[in-house]
Amino acid sequence: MGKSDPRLRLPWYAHVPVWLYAAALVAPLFFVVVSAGKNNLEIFTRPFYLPINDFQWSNFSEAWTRTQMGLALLNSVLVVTASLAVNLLLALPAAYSIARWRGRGGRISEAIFALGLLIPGFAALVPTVLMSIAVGMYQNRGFLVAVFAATSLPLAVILLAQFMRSVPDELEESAMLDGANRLRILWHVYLPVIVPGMATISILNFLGFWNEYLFSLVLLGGDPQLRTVQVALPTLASRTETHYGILMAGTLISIIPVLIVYVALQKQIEKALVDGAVKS
Amino acid sequence: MGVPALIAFFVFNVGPVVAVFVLALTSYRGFLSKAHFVGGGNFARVLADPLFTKALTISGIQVVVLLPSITVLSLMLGYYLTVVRRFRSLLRVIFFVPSLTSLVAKSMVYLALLAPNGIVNGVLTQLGLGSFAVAWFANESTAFPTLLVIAIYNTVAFQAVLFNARLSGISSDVFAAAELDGATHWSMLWRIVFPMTRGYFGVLAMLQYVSILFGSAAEILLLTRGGPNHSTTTLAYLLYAKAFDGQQIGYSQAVGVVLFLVGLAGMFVIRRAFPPSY
Repeated sequence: MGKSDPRLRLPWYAHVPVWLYAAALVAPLFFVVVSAGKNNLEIFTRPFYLPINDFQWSNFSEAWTRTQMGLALLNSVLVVTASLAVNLLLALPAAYSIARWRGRGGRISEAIFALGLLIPGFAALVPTVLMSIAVGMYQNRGFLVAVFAATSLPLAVILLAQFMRSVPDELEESAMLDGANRLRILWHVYLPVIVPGMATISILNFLGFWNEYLFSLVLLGGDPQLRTVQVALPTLASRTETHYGILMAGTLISIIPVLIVYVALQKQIEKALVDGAVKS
Repeated sequence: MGVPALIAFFVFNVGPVVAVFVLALTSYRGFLSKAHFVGGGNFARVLADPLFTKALTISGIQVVVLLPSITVLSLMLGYYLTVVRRFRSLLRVIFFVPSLTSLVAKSMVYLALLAPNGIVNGVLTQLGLGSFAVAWFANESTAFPTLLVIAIYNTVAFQAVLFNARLSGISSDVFAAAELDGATHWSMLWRIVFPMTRGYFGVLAMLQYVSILFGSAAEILLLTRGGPNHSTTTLAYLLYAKAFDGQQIGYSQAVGVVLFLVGLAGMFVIRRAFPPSY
């Protein structure tokens, strides 16, 4: 893109706002890390000071016990893992039938899921709570799992169907002639092709489920035994006198799992986020 | 084989949306009580309520301010990422940060940064601008503008990455030809790149519109709870607050119906303005 032409340099007044914005995006991360080891007085009088020698590790233990973070992390891990699994179990066969069913039914199913991409999840909030009460599953993690797994189906089905279309019909037919049954075809012919698709879906779902707040809050009702990390964290800020060091320590604990996954899977995560948004 | 997925989809996605329209015609005294059919009564109450009018105005301002600024800034930043020669990967990594961290974590940081004696006010005071240091979320004249700035700050980065992914698909011949004609970056962006990605611009604008309209409740719940003096009560937050704080489910879902109609109307307008190009 014009790399050889020196006339088309970007002017300085294009670089300056971009880098200021980039700095403004990184600064809060820095602020969280340095503030997690300080008390209110230090945070407000010396905000950028990095407490190397007097880092208050007690902020972390305070945040941990006040929010019952161990339980919350366990709940989050349970809900996210189960939701990921249920979502894939439902989406894989649906995507397969859409990719292979050339008739009207396949097209209609795909259109239904595609339309589902346009339904804003927030619209379903109140009826979903009423449904959980009606079926006796209010404050039940299993119900939250069902909600997560089902509401993320449209994107999962559409993306997986796109991957499955790349398997040529002939490959499947020859496997069929060799006497392989449907399940074996799915396993041997499709699995290698759709692993990247499943990775993309799981990454998007992991970020979405781990970071979800509103449904987790209203469906689990803030019960400390059931609540997830995102619901537990803001309880540190709800007191009249917030201890910001403890709040930032809790915030850091809540984003560490995502940071670990991001460091391990950076390229895949970036691709998944772009694919997920572009295709929807 | 797709039947279980279709059932789950109808129960948890379609069903609740249909239920919004039914619940809007009923009166519930609370989540655990029985519903009574009241017809259009909720809508009469909603439309006569000054708080609803206020929320409608606030949501309207939100859309009018955020939609053009977010989409245009994202396109410009996405173009920058496409043509910049140095540090492109570093910038892309930085611009992914807001889409990884949770709304709750970000909100907790904003509470700390924008507290009355927080870092933002500290820096303002150091710069001799102490008179501008206010309680950002607790002040009626600053709470809503602060939320708007946060929304732009939070959204532009990832939208720019999306535009960048799209613009990378434009043939470099196009840029080369424009360069030979002596085009500047500014004219290249608005005379060549923007017309070529008009349809995609419309798609992102539509998704952005829906997310502005429906997506504000959680953030407002965490940062201002709709206050002070309802100055940050958007339609989405009104829906939430009426249902979960006020236990007025019929009223809340009548607001939901209004949100839906406003959403559909806006999507129609955006689609007409930026027809899909493929």
